[in-house]
Amino acid sequence: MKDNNGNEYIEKIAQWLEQIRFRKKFFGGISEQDVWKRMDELNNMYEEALKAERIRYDVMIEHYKKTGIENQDGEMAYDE
Amino acid sequence: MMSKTSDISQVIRKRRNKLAIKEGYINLLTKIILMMILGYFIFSQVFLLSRVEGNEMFPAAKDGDLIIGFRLQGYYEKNDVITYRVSGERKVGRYMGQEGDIVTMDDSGTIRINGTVQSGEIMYPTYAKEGIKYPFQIPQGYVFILGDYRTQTIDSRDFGPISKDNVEAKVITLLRRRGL
Repeated sequence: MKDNNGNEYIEKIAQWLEQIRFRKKFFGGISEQDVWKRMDELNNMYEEALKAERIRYDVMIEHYKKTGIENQDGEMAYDE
Repeated sequence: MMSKTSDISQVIRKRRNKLAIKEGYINLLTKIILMMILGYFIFSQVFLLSRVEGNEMFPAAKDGDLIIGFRLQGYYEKNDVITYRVSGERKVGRYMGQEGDIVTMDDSGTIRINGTVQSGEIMYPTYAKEGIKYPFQIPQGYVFILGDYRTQTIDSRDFGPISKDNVEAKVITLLRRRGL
């Protein structure tokens, strides 16, 4: 699968979430409504984590742009 | 990137809303079924809802009136309006006497129970009919029931005393539907 900025993976997750079904239990089962609520909370946490990670990557890229680190061949590790 | 992750939130929200609607319908259906079961239990074991057929209780009850009876009454008093069954047919009548009581009728249209004149608010004379000889003692386990429209009704004077087992309920409410 191509990594098109992660979009394809996210689309796959969204599709999976649209199609997922839960097995029912007559006794001792859990509330499906509660499952979706927790999933929403988990998704929000992941979104926050991804956002933080994106900021970290942006800072690192900015840092490499400014410091101009060279690789083993003597070329710049990062080309503008 | 973040707009894509928001798609996931939208999918979750959509699934939650869909589930909430589904659960709402299931809850509504469950409540309707429970109400029906409860209604059936109440009106088959505790109360009785029936339509008056004929004018045998005129003027107290007229043809087409709705009556609500209480099935758990157990003990009835003279002049109570009750429902009972004769040959599988439900009838409405007035409770006149219980087991051991002596019923007497004379040519003047007066009915006596244990020697006491039973006039009440009945405006029709009570004449004896063929089949029962008066004075008549009500046998054990039976009751004597008359309709208010004494000159027209078919009641205990015709088919004799009624078994207590065939008495269904005491009428507690009457809903008039015609001739208001």
